[in-house]
Amino acid sequence: MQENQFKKVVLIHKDIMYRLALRMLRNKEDAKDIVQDSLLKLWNKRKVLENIRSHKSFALTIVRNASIDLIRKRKPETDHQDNIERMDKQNPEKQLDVSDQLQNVRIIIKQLNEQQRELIQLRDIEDLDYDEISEITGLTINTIRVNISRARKEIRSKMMDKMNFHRSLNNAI
Amino acid sequence: MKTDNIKTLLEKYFEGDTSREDEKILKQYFLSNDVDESLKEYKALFQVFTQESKIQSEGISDELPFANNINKSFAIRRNASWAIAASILILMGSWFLLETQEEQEMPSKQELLLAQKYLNIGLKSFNVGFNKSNDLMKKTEMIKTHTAEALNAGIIYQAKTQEILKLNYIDKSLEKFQKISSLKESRIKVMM
Repeated sequence: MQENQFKKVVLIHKDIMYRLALRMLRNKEDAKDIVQDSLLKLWNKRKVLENIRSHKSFALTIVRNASIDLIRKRKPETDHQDNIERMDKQNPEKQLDVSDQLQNVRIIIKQLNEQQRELIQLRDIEDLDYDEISEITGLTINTIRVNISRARKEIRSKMMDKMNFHRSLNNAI
Repeated sequence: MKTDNIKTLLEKYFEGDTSREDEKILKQYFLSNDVDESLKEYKALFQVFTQESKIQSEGISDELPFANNINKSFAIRRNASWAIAASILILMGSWFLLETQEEQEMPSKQELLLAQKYLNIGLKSFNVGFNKSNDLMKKTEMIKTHTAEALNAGIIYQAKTQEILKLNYIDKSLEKFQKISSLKESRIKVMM
């Protein structure tokens, strides 16, 4: 596979690769490193790429696996703690405005476990079908369905908790 | 009516049972300005999904994977060198075998000319291959083609050499051929 072809079928997926790495690692620098390493691996395996049906799925698989390896090597993260503090520092008496609501949803997604974050990213954000997600993650479609359901319900539950908390405070005032 | 449909879809969504088309409908609804009051709390969720899908990679070079290109021509140069070395060994082997052969009866002039012809072909092809290989360090694909030709010529030469080995070995034969030629020349001079 020549350079031009590689750019057309692999590099074109750079952004989606970055977004997946960022979702899993929750750190921009780490995500950038993982994507660069993954692109280099893909370039070194370019002969294999010629026989692959979905370059996007293959690229995302490499990013996913590399991200998981890095997560295993890491110390427990502190940004999770930072995000919780940020939520608590919001004025509880103030009605949540739209930007706060959006930020809360982002924080809630960030607080999901690794697998739930990954599935929300691939399905709800990147709009991949269950077959593609199965190819990337190695999970069965049924497992994907069950875990996506759990992730979505958890997001809903935390969103409602937050909103109810604010409503009750406003009512009390 | 529409709100009821959306509520039904939303329940399916949280069970993980919606198709991509269903989810597209939900996204379009919640990004619109027509969201029912009872469903407004879900608006932020779908807005975030849409915003997150637009994040772009930062500072990841399009050129990065190609910075560590292996020098392709080196590999082919190395292969060409092996081919040349193999050809030299074939020739040397043939010469060695010829040296150890016992002398038999003198070959005919025709046989000697044939031996010389194939020797020349072999040497010529080898030289062509060798020179081409040197030039082709700049053009990687051509090295492969010409190396194959040189090898083929070497193989043909070796096959013909085997046939001639049954008669005599080439260096002594050529020497004799030259002696014969010079004898003939002197005879002609004498006659004249």
